[in-house]
Amino acid sequence: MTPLDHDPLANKLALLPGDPLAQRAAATVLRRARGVLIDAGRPAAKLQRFWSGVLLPAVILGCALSYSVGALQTIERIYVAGR
Amino acid sequence: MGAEDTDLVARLRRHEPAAFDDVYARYQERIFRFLLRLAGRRSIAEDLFQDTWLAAARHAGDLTEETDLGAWLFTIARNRFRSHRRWAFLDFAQRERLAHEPPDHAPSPDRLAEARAEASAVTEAFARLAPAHREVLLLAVVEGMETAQVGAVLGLKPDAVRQRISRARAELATHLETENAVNRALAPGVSR
Repeated sequence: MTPLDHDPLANKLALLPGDPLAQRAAATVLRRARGVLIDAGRPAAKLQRFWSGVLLPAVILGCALSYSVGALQTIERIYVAGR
Repeated sequence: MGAEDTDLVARLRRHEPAAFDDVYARYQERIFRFLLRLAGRRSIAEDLFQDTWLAAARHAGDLTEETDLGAWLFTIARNRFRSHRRWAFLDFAQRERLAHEPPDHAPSPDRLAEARAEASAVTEAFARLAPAHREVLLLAVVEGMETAQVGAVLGLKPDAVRQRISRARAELATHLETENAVNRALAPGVSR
């Protein structure tokens, strides 16, 4: 049983425009998406995603942490020297 | 999730083009119809449809064994639409143009004159719904998804989904009433 069998609202909503995509356009989208899928499966693409998704954020986070720690230590030294 | 979907997910994770073809054949009509009804404009729906499938292809390797394929694809499509809406809001030139351009499904003057057609009233009433209400009705009522699946797509708990469906139904009923009243007033032969 589909939702249209028992729900008057569903019957109304079934009247909304829903013409399918032209076959040629659908085939073009599929061809492009297939190309992307094949590219994404290549080892170089996996390496690139690992770099941009894991390594690069880790490097940036590490730099930010190290900078913050250094800055705090410097402020502490200045404060202690000033007393 | 059926065994067939589980198998498709496993093959997609291995980037098998044949698996992608199967998924596309199974879901492309539903995804396009969803976007068309959500966006209300065919040209926008076509762009979003392509973006959706390109994103699906790009992230196929990130799927997990438990991924619900249908919910995953509808989530991508919905996120593309939301992203489009955000950018369109900032695109003042486009907003200006679209404000003066009727939606694809707006009735022509002739059609408006014979405006008793129920389809026209439903289309107009639906276009006036808030996007959050449009999407929940499309997923739950038109696509017939389970509450949990709708929740997965929209990022809501089942109770919140049920509440939103109820509000969307009420809003649509109000708009439908208004549309029908307008249609009755505009119908030929109505004495004033």
